[in-house]
Amino acid sequence: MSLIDLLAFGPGGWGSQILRGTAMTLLIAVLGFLSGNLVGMLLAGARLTGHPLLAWPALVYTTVVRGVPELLVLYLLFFGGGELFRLIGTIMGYGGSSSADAFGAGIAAIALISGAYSAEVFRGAIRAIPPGQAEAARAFGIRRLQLFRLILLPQLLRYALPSLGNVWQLTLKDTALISVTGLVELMRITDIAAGSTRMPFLFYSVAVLIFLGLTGLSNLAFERAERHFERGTARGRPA
Amino acid sequence: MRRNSRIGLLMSAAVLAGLSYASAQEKKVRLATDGNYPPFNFTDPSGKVIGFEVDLAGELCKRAKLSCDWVTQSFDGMIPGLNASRFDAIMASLSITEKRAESIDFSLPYYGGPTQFVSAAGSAISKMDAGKGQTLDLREMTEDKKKTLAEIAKSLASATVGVERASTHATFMQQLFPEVKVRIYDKEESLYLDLVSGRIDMVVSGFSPIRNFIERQKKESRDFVVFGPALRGGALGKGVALGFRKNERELRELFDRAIAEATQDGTVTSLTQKWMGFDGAVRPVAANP
Repeated sequence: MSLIDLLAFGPGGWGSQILRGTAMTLLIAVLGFLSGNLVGMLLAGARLTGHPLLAWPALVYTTVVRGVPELLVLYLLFFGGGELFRLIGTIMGYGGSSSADAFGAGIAAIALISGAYSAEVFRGAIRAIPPGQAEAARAFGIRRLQLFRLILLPQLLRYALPSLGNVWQLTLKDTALISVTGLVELMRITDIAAGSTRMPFLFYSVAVLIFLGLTGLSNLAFERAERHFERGTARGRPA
Repeated sequence: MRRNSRIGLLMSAAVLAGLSYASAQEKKVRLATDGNYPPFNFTDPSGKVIGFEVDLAGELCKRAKLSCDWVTQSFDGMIPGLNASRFDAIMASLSITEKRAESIDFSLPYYGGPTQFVSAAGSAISKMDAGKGQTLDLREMTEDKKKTLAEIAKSLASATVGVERASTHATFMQQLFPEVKVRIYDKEESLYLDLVSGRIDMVVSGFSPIRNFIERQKKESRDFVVFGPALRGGALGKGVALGFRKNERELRELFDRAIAEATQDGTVTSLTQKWMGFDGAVRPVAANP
């Protein structure tokens, strides 16, 4: 069988399996990254309040999760938290089926890891905004939610985006770890195809190209987003 | 009131669960496999798991009147996954070892192939005379066998040997040839890639993967040969079996009976003939405590 046939989309080719794996990788990465940003915002907020009951747990969390291998966090959640996830799965009506909780555990793990990194990004970004702006806004009688939405968030994103792009790349690559849970994403399908056909070089090369394609495209997207949020500034300084 | 309705809900749920259990005549069993280890278990491009173990599982489940489903997941997380009840049994070319027996129970072995040495044809190590053509059973050590093993150790002294991590072959090398330089690989594929590139001199592995490897290399006009003795027993384990959680004695005994039957009536022999080209059945069938 020629190489083209092996990668074809028809019967006998691995194309559609690889495509499905790529879609799963993207889905986990996007969901994990978005919920990770939510986690990160909350953690950053908790640390910035300065209240010991909020700031300390957040500090411990970001330190621990960033300090241990991602695979360890995943094992802990997937094998240690198996009972918990099955319980949640049963309540949600999945009947504890193993694919459902592999998906849930996968996204949760990615979100928790990604959140620990983005928390630091958001904390830095918020601190980069001069506190005088918030004070001025309050003096004008702007409410807190408006203050956040209209003044802090646009600037925060400008400061945070370059580093968030970095976190996104880390998150995208971390999805490869999910393959230990049995969820069939790009890494796992590559592994299966490489083993089953005994042609590891071909399939691992394809996976490299796909991962590079994904990171390349997302780099472009982040660059555009950065330009969008920098539109009110000249050469990185307020206009 | 609220509490009452909740109890009512629970009761009807229990009744429903009971009904659905009764309507399913066959007990459902989830078998875990790796899906990338031909010819035992591998995946076709449509995503279906095939191989010797899939065929055999079909036979065993039919005999045990079970309805079996496959769960594929990487070998790494399999034993923790079993103990976390993500599936009910492992059937993934899992060798019986004492270490593994501490955390899981094994069925009777359904496959046992010899362990062999392989290297590039014409290499210095492939010309080794020690143990040539013999089958050494490591269960009972005789003086003769010890002498042969000592000769083998001497011949291997200058070689670098590749084995797969956490495999019986790795334990075997450690226990019998602690002096020999061993390189440990996470994956079978990288092990053989390094043998082809000459980074290691030889590989210790099972009969079937070695045969596969040699055939594939032949297609690319590279010659690799099996040399030295064939080994079995002892550190090399008692064979390949299904793995069960420790508290699942009933399920394990169902499979034990089916394996004994399939071994005795020649089903295992014909399936191993079909997939591997030799009789890999483990005889005599012993009792599993």
